Amino acid sequence: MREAAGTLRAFVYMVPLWAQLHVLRVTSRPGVTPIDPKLSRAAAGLGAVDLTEGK
Amino acid sequence: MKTLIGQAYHLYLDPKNWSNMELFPPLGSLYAAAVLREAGHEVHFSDSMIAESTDVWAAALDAERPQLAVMYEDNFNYLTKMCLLNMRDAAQVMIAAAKKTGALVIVAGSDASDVPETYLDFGADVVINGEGEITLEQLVAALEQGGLQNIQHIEGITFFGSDGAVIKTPKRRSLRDIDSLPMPAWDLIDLSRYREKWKAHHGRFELNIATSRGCPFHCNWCAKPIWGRAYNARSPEKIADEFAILAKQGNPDRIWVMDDIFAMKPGWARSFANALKDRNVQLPFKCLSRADLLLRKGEVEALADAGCQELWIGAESGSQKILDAMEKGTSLQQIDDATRLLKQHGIRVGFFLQYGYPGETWADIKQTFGLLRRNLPDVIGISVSYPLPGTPFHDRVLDQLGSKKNWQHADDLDLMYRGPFKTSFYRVLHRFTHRLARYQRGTATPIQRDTAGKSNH
Repeated sequence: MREAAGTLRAFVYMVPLWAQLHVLRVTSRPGVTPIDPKLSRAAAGLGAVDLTEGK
Repeated sequence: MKTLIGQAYHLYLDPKNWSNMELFPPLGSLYAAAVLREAGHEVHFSDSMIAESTDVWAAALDAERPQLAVMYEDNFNYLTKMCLLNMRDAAQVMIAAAKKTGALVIVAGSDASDVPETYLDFGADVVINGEGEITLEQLVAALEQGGLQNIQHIEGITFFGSDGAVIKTPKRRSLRDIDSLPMPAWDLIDLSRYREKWKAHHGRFELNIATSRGCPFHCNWCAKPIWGRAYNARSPEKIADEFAILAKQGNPDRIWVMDDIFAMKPGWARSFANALKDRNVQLPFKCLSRADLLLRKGEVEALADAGCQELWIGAESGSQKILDAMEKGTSLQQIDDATRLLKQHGIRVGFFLQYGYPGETWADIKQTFGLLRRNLPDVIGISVSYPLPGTPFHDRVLDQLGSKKNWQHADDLDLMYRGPFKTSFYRVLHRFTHRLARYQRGTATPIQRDTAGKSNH
């Protein structure tokens, strides 16, 4: 019963937040920092982590 | 030397965490206290974690009149790694109070390691960079022998030279044999106050332990000012001994293992489970690990046998594109599979999520909602990407940062660079995701909950 009330409360709070989120999404400026593919570890030629490293 | 040890991190200055009241003793500071005491110094302790004002530190200074005031942060606690401005402000007040009494002041911690000059400008005499116990022990011995003129040979410190120039000595290598450190000086804090607060807020009592230091992985947003990419672990037998001692002395209901990654070494978890069994110790714990490590054969079973009750995974995002950009090194399939395994073994699952990483679109955010729907984690923690010094992520967005380079408190969630959306969007997204996760858990059938994570990509 308590769990069901929590779920209902989550839904009730969720609806206005969802609306607010969409307003902000539309009015927010889209991103300007694209992902740099050169950052990829594989692309940089670096190997995987050695799990035996350290003590 | 007569020494007072304290910390700038005050939980009461971090409103969200003060309200959550998950209060853990400053373990790292207790290690430092134990090391100094073992070296023969008279050590007193001011516990800022539970204090409700920086006046507690001032009162301790007045009461003890120490020759040396050491502000040593608990480097095991992720909250200190956030380098929050509220704590930096507290440090400034505390350093001034200590200087007023004529004490020498040493500062150690993540923020001081990041910006040592700032702390020297506040009045600190020496800043310890990185892991601090051995540096502190050597530094105090040198100060005792020859004062501030006698510290140039100590590795891992920053201070003003006699000409006013900043001197930074060579970096100290991390301590490999961490089993050689004494037990944290638990006797210097009042555990009954912790117990009272825990019981009043949660009906249970938790204590903390660290079984390893550092993390060798390379998520490019993760700051590692203390241990770098070094990783050193204690022996499973020593940890089992410490569990037994904590169970007897503190009688906690659960332990928080504060490691960045618990049981990373192959076979460690099984050895630990066996060591606990040998000692007849049963003490539930929560910890952090990685999805890929949890998929090693027998790993989750060993964790369950050892008493793991809740395990947090740095899931971060439901978008593989974003995980790859972060160089996380894990896949969505691994997160799903690890979650299913944990649930099958009766272990509660926590997900850390991060929004706002450069390149993240609304479509990626919706994939994170999908990750939650598929896996139904029992608990989630949400943050937005936070560029901390020393990380590739910080370097990439450095030219976009304004005058504010750190968060004021843990719930600040300020996107301090030009991210995909504005800060106001992420603050609402943070609240929405918590509600969504709760709603998803509540509306899932028991079968869905049991088989969470079962999906194809």
